[in-house]
Amino acid sequence: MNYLRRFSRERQIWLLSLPIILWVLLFAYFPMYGLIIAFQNYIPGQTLFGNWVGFDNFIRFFQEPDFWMIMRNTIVISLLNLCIGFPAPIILALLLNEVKNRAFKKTIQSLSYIPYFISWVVVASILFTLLGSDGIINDLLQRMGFIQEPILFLGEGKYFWAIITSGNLWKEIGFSSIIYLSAIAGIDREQYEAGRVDGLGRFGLIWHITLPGIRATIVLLFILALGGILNAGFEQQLLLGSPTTRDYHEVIDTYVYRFGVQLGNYSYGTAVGLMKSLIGLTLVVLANRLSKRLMQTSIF
Amino acid sequence: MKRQTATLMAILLSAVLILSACSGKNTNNGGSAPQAGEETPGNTVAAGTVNEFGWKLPAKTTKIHFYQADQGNPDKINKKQAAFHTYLLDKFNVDITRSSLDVDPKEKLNLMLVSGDYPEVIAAMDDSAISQWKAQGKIMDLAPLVDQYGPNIKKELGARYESYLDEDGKLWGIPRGWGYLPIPDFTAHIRWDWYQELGAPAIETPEDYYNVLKQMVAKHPTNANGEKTYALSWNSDVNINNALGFWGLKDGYKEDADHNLTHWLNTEEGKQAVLYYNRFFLDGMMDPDAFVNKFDDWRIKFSSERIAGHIGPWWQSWNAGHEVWLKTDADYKEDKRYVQIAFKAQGAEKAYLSPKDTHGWNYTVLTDKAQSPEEIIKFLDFMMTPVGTRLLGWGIPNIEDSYWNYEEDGKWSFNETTKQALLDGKLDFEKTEAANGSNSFWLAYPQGLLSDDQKSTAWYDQNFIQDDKWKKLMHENVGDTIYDSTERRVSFMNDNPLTIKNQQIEELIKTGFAKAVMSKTEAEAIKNFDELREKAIKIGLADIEKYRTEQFKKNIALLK
Amino acid sequence: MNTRTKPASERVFDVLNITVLLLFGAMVAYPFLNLLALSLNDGADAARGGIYIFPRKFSLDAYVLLSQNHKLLEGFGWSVLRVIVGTSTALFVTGLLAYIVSIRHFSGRKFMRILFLVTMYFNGGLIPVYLLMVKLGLTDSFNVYWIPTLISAYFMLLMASYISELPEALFESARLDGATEITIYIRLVIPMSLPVFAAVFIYAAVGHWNSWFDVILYNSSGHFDTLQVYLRRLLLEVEASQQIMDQQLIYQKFNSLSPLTLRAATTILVTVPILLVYPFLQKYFIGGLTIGSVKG
Repeated sequence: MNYLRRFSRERQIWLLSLPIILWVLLFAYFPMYGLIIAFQNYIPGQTLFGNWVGFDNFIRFFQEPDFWMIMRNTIVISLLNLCIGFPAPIILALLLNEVKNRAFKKTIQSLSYIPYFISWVVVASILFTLLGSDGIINDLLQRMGFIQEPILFLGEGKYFWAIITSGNLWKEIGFSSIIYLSAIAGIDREQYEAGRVDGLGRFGLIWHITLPGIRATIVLLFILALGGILNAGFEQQLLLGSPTTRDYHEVIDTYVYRFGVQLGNYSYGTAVGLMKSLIGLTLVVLANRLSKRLMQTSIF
Repeated sequence: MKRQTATLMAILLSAVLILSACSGKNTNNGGSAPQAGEETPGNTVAAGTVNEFGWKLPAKTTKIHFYQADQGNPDKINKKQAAFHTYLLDKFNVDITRSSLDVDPKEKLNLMLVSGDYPEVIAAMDDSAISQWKAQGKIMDLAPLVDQYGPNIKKELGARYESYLDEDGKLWGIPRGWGYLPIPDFTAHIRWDWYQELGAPAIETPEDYYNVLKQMVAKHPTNANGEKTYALSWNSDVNINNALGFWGLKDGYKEDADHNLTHWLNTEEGKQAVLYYNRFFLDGMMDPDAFVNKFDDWRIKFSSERIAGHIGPWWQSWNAGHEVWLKTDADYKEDKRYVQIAFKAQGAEKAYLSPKDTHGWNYTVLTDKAQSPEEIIKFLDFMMTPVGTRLLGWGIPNIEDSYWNYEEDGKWSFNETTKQALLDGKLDFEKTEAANGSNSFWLAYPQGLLSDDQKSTAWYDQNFIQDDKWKKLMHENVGDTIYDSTERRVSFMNDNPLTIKNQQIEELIKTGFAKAVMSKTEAEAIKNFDELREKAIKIGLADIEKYRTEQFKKNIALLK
Repeated sequence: MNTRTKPASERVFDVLNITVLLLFGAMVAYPFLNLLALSLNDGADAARGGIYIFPRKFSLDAYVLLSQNHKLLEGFGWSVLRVIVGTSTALFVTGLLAYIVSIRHFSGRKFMRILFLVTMYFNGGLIPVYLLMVKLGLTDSFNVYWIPTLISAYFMLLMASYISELPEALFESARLDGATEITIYIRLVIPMSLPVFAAVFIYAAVGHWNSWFDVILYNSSGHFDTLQVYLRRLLLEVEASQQIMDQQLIYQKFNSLSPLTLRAATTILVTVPILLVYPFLQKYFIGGLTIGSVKG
């Protein structure tokens, strides 16, 4: 009886799922046949079933003269984004949530996602007026007597990681905080009242009610962010980097673009992309398993 | 609340369904979609008549809707071609439109090739794309058509024609922008009024240039806003090969008597040049952001009078110099500008600054979809005649914003009003070109000097070198640094394993050159230069040198 | 709340919090003000740089020029239509999927989640997707703006993580009352998940508003050009010019380059409408919404 009812319910759900499954098969899975060019030396226009080269494209990537440099930059920039760029929107959402003045809160909130709409081309030119050899910052430092000669923030590689992390942070923080704000809004008011009755102060409420209330969202986004560890950006590197910072700004995506796609070598780009995807998915699966065991939260 | 949401959703969904039903595929001409003149009415002019340009009107309107494989702003292109399109339709019974998209052209060409959605004519295909399309059998061999309908194409290309044929004697594309145009590309520049102030000392060697710039910067240490001035700066497109030309290197290579090429990294001259530019940095005369500036940043520095000299394309100091000042300085004096100059290092045979590849930029092809290829070739043939090149290059004649006036029988003259505006630096290109459509349809014709007078060129603004005081001065100064580099032409195709090596070395050089120039001591500069060379050799510099030499010798034999 | 009962540490926190947020507000607003100042400056004068928050030589030229371009209005129309259609359909379908994969007793739950998760990491690349769009007749049509973006695995996960927190018992009792799943979704799930729907609405709307690559790729006819495309065109002009080798050609290109001020004005014009979306949705983030109130 129970099984029958369950089946009848499930039939309804499956019926709803059917068009959705068809959609994903058509738009996402069907085009994946294109991935086979990773194992070929494909030139657009030719047949998709010739010119097999096995794993040559993958091997080429590992043998690139700059392989270690690219890997280091990719991972360092990603980790910086993860360590700083990931918690920052959570903190912003918490801070905004603590503001009692609604107008102020709304204003800051609305301002906070402006940078997301400013394209990197414009950001790059603004950064130049700030950080160039005679930009505002150098000017200030020189006037205050901290330095004699201008610091070449944009010209020396050692500053690049800090600049790109700040740039990413500045651009994304407000936009990313929206989802946390929505999660906070979803926390049941009654919980806060109960917390106050139990004598929790303001920080206590944040720690014991707000944070646990948005834990599922945090865990989800963290796991997904781990999966993107090999995506360290592209446009920002091209626009903020210069020849003198190449040892610090070149990442997998920019490299593959320059030496694959731009030279008409699509197979190479696809192979590296495939490898990145496999690593990303593996990380997600591992992190998910870990989170299931430690925190009883999982995303699938 | 619940009901409201449900109703809203229902309305939205039905709206979407209606929309999707209405907005189906309404055209299927893909990349070739013409903007100007979508439906062309038949022409009323009697077929067979010959017009004043010597063109025999076809009985049926010739349609040439082509895609030009370079990245362009479609709005601007359409605006510019509209009037000229109408003109050609009326006078020639030729319906020609160009479409350029803001998609990466390489990508677009690939998508066209794999999807089969491409127009009859494609302009601006490079060697590598041609070989791809040829292999798929999607483009036509034009040789038989040219033999039959293109006498002027053959006549104007002359002996050069053979060099466009492949091993089997087939012609896959007609070259665009070919020919020798002896105008400078790259030069050294100097701020003219500051130079005059010093009494215009002779500049014959890089040393002289350095010393003059040093004095100029000493005299003008800051601009009006108190910002520091520099002798040199660069923007992200610094052309290293050009910067080496003063030491007698051609396109970054040294050539021996037997035409063997040595890359500049392997020469003493290359090292000298790097140390020379490093000296500017060591003495605080090089903008520390020289390799960081984007064009816009650099332009701001330049126009706010912070740079005394420049090494780069001739037009950069115009665009960022007096062309800005003309508009912003109330009491602008014509001496306040840059003048293009040249010099050569001691021991160098000559300065080689502007390589000229007379082969052309790329090609126009006819795809297998071309309905009446012979009609298209006939019009391309007309474009190749001197009068045709003038018409297509300078646009509609005999109107207010014309560049030229045309009477019958090939008699023509320049429009004095626009010419004067050009010489005064007051010509509004955007306005005149929207009216006359000059160079909107550059499918075949040369940029070199036209065969009938050996003087005019399709680039309108390059016709008055002798009338323009400053252009004349530039030519006198740097004219002998221009050289024909056609034989050095080399295309790195997709399937060539050296392509990647070449690209890797070029990237490496960009970084290494910048590092060496920005070294804090001369010893460090030498170390950085040597390191750069070591790395390049490791990647395979010798292979590139060998390949270039081979191609060079092959071309010399071919072009003889 | 009564301030007198607040401990000192909380008062210090309030002051600090406001200060930090004010500073933050200034930092994020600066580029916008900078663009605004640039857009209101004279074109030739702006080429000399040095404009920060105030225009140096006031001029409305850039905006006059923009207002003369009638295609911008058309582009604006397509952008708005795209945002409305694309976002509402995506929200409805992805929300439904998120509900489906949140039903605890549904046996296909894990399968569906993984089916979509994989699509976040693997895709066939430009060429196969392009060919598919051509085959489906989606090129040169408005449909390409919403059908291919109907479902996003990322949004599904975001929404599911919210929906999973809703009390399952509520749905169970609705089912016992004979409600169908689609009714439960529309009548219960959507009203109870408004904050996450609002957040995803913003994300999806912004995504649709900002996207330009699919526009120029699939709609080469230019009939459906959105506002964003006009902006990208201006911003990419310089980069495109740098790929040319022939100096005379580059010279021509740079001669007709749109001035900095026009680029700034276009950025402002393209950004302002979407900035206005957020304030309208903010009420869903302020809270005040309790699950208890929905129950009644």
